[in-house]
Amino acid sequence: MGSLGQASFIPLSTPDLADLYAQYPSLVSAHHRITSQPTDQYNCTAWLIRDIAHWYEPGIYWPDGLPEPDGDGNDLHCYIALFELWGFEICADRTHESGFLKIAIYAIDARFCHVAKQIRGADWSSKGGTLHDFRHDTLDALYPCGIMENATPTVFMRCADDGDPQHLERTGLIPADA
Amino acid sequence: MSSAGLLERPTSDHADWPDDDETVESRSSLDELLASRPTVNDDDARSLFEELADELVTVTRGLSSTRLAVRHPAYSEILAIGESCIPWILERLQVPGSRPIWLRLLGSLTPFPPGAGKETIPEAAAAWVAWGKLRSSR
Repeated sequence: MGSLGQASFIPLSTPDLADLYAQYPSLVSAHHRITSQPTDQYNCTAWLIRDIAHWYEPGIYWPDGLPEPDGDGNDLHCYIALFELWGFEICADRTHESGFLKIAIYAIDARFCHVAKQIRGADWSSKGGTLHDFRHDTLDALYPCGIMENATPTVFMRCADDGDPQHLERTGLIPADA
Repeated sequence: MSSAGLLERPTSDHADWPDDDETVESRSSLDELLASRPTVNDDDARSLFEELADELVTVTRGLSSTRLAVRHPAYSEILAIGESCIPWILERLQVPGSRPIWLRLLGSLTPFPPGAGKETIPEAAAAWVAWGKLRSSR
């Protein structure tokens, strides 16, 4: 993890970083490391499985057969179904468990806002909307965030970490030093 | 993957495709909203759109779900400008950076799904731009 407020070795422009820190003001004072340039081609959901070609969201790109948002626009259940499809199961909390890697779903009521994935060493990795990928040491570093100010991690899921690098690559749960 | 494209009517269970009754109702609501606004010329409307679009980009860049932006005042005000802003949205869509939010807006302003039945953001953007050219040539 980089030092306080330090960006990674990837050359980044000041306006880009200003955008990121404006969206995630708590990130500035958290231990974090920027791990990509900003892009609008994939989102945090795609980042779970290291799919950098798709923006997973109902109406934009969404696997057939999964639930769609309900009449009130609630879509949290849709994302939980997607993550179950990818091999995750609901678990109790964010605490690191030996043999598992977790994801934390941020939501407001029943509306999906963000998902962060745990990496080995118990840190977290996120893709911030149309901005950067970054690692962060706490889940609290991502709120408040812009217009989803009140979104906090409310659902946690886990997937077995069998230590197989190929398995990790396939599931997107990358080693912390990758 | 959802296969509904811009040139075909999506299946009735597509979440972003209102049924006929909803179309009539939402169109009526939009007409009422438009009628309640002061008359503005194209330059004024364009200027208003650009201001709202910049604001929308600023507040939504950290969002991984464009659906969350739908309740933002800038989003609603762009919708209130109406179909005349579609060409301006298509201009913005040709510049990478905030394409998902422009797709969502186009999905709200038209009966078509934001993703245009395409796999990727660049493909969806290209499909919408092609649709816009076809629409303007008619």
